[in-house]
Amino acid sequence: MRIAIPASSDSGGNGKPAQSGGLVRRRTRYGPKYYDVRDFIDNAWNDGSSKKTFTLLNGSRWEFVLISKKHSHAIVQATGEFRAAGKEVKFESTIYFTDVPWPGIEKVLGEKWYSIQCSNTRKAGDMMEQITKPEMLAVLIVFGMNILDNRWMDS
Amino acid sequence: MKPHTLAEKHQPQQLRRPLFNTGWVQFELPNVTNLVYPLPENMKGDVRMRNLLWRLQRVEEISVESLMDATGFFDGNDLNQKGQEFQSWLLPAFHVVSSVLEQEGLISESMMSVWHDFKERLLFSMAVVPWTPTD
Repeated sequence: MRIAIPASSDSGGNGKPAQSGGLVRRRTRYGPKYYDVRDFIDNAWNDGSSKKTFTLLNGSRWEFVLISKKHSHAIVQATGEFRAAGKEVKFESTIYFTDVPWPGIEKVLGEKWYSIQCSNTRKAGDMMEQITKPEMLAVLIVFGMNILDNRWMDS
Repeated sequence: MKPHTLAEKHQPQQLRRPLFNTGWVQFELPNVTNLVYPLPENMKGDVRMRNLLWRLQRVEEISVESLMDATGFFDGNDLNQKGQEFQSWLLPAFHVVSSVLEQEGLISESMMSVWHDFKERLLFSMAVVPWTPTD
C-alpha cells in the first residue's frame, strides 16, 4: 500500500503530527518522518538543500549529502563522526534508496538488493550487517523510516 | 511524618501510563529465532525478546534512562555479559521487532517520542562503539 503525502504536509513540529489536507505527516526530533522509499524519494530534499547535518543523542555527528535523485531512486552520501574512549571513529557510506530498479543496479548493489542499501556492505545481502550498520541506523532514525520497508528485491 | 487520612488513602491514584498499548501481549512476535538468521536453539531468542519487552512495559516512571536501565544490558556505560549476548545475536531482531510494534500501533501514542529516543540510544549504544569503522 502506498501512502500519498503531499510535500506541503512536511510542515508541523515538535514531534507532533502535522495535519495537511486530511493527511498526517509525523515528525521525529530530527524532522519529517518518511513512510517508505517512495515517500522519501518524492518528498525528501525538496527544500532546495543538498546537505543535511544532524547530531544524534549519543553525540555522533552525521552529514547526508544528496548525490542524485531520480524517479526510480535516490543516492545519498552519509558521513558520520563519533568520539568513543578518546578515539574518533568515522563512518562513510553511499546509501541507495530504490523504489524501481534502475539501469545497472545489479552492478552496484548486486543481483539481490535492498530498497535501502549501503554501498560498502562486505557481504552482499547480509541482513545482519545491513540492519546494524551505523550509517543505516542513522539514516533510518534521522528520516524516521521503518526497517520493515527495507525489503528484498530481485532485479 | 503525618499519617495518611482516610480521604487521602482513597484519593484515586494517578494512572500509570504504560509504554505499550493494550493488546501487545497477545501480539504474536515474529519468530525471532529465525527472523534474521538461525540462532542456536539454546539462545531462546524469542523468549529473550519477550522478556525484554516485559521489562520495558513494567517500568513505572518512563524515561529514556529508566528504559535503558530496565534492559539490564549495561553496567554504567559498558555492556555487561547479558548485553553483549544480546548485541551479538539479537540486536537486528530487536530492530525489526520494534519496527513491527510501531507499525502495528502498539506503542503508546504519548510515549512515542520517549520510545524513539530509547530505541536510538539502545541501537547506537550497541552498534556504533564496538563496530569496526569504515576503512
